[in-house]
Amino acid sequence: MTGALTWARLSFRQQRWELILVALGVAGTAVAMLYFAFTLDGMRAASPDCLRDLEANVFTDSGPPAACQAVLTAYYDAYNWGTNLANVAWLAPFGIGVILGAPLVAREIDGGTAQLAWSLSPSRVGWLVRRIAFVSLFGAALLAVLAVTSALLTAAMFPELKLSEDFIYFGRRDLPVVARGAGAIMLGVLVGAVIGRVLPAVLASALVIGLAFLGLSLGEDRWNASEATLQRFQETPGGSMSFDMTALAVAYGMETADGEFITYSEANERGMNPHIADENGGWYASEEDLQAGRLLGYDARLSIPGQRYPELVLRHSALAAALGMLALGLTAIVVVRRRPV
Amino acid sequence: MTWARLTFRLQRSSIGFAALVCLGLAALAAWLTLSLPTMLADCEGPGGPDQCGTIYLFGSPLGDATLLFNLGVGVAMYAVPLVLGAPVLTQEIERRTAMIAWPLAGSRLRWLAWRAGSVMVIGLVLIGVLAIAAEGLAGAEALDGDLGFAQHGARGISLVTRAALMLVVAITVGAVIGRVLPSLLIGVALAAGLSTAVASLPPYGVESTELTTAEMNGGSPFTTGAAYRAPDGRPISEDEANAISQAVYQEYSPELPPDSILPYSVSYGVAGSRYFEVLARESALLVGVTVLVGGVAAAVVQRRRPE
Repeated sequence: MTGALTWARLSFRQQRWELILVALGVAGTAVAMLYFAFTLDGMRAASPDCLRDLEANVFTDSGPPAACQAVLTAYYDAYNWGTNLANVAWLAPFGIGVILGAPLVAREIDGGTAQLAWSLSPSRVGWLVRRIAFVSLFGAALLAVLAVTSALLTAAMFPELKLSEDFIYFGRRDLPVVARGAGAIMLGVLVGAVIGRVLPAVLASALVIGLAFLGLSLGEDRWNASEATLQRFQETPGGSMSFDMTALAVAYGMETADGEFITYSEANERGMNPHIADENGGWYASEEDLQAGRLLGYDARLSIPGQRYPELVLRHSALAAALGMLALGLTAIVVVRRRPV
Repeated sequence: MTWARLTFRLQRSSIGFAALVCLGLAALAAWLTLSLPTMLADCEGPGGPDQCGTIYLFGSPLGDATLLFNLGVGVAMYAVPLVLGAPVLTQEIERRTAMIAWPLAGSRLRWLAWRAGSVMVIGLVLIGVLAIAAEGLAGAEALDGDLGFAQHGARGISLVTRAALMLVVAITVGAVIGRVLPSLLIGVALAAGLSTAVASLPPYGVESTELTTAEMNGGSPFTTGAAYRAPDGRPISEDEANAISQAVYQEYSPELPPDSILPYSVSYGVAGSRYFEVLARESALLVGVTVLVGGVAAAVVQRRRPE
């Protein structure tokens, strides 16, 4: 226990400035999130007539009632701040990965202290684990705070939704924020260990983390597409749009006449050129095709129902964590093989 | 040449990053500028409107690519100076080479002028290339050739003055803090503040007037506010305008009332034709602040104890 505390103290002293600044940034964001969550709740409680049914009050021909205009303006101002803060929760894991992860090993190599530390430590892998443990836990704890406050803010912004079964702000709240952060920190450490200099490692890790998570996201999109259900924009001809707003939209496109789903760009690539739509969401290549009934397909999307939100949260988090573990394993190999500089 | 080589060796990664970002974005802007006439010509051909409906997405004839370019310029104009400026002094202080360099230089100010000046020259050349490319793209996008306030701050002189100020701010923060990463983090916060400040400062005392329809439709004016007028042209408050609108809509419901009996809004601001007046004032202010902040950096270097 004393040994762990000593390592924690040492880690803190080596990255004091970054840890303090990141903690201040997270604290400021979390406080702002809570402030706007309470503000939105308070506004709805104070002006139930104006904010109870926004569609009925706002989307009318003559606009919102004059008595509600000031309330609605203030409400949407607070709502926009909430959206911006939720976006910070999305960006924070990657930023923390760059700021806290990249310099961890790079600084030791850059400053020449790695040579001494590796000689003194019985095992370089043991040294690596001890070296990154405190910062990783510290980063994860900060991100957990953001994940929770972001979830509270989301609940205040969308009080009518059951967030445990809704994909709204997926990746901006709950476990994925922490898991992405853990993965990003490990990727940052890997880049730092490979490059061995602080500033280049910071710049390169921003690129590597971005690309790695973009790849993860594209891979998940494919996985999700294989499990998604096809949903037409209009379930019945002439019917109204019947979107399940709780669902995760995987792709938008057309359901062709033979029941296949293709995206709009795939349709254009195949030379289908959907130009004219009818009132049922059906697409035609030209006015003549519309008159002749030569249908290309219906507007449709691939989606995953909101009930699967917990499952996809766990899956996404496990993938992000696995990416982090892979990066950690590669870092261990780099550290073991690296010649003292 | 020796200075440039030495500067590059000292800040290889940040200069490489700056060159990659600025020249990459400039190349993208050049490609977009050259592609624009062809795309517009295609839109004028038979069957054009359907394709151009997509091309004009986001209000730009080039759609997503232009939008992404402008986003990239918005980030690069602060990120590039920050990455170039923050390490100038922090690296010397962190690695303790300042302790040797300062006594050897004879004058710390002369050393700073060389050390920071060479980075500033490299940075401003790169940003200048980007600014010219962005100006060219903005000119190609403005179909009537009258740019006015369009993309103000993200092209030409306004981009260079903002970037120059950010570069000097980054150098100063580095001089005060003395460590690379904390300087970068504080620099990010300052960049956000600077971006907000320069967005809120225009029109720098240039008088706002009620914009005519011609001024609103051409030459991208800078709007400072709006007001309401009754159908007879009399100025009215927003509440009055809403009350009149509600009454008229109720009277005509379920039909829509004619525009001639509804209140209308007018915009106040500076016409696009007066852009250079605003640009000159802004440039003078930003250059002045840049010199002032540079003075702070010099004072810090002069007084800082060798570590």
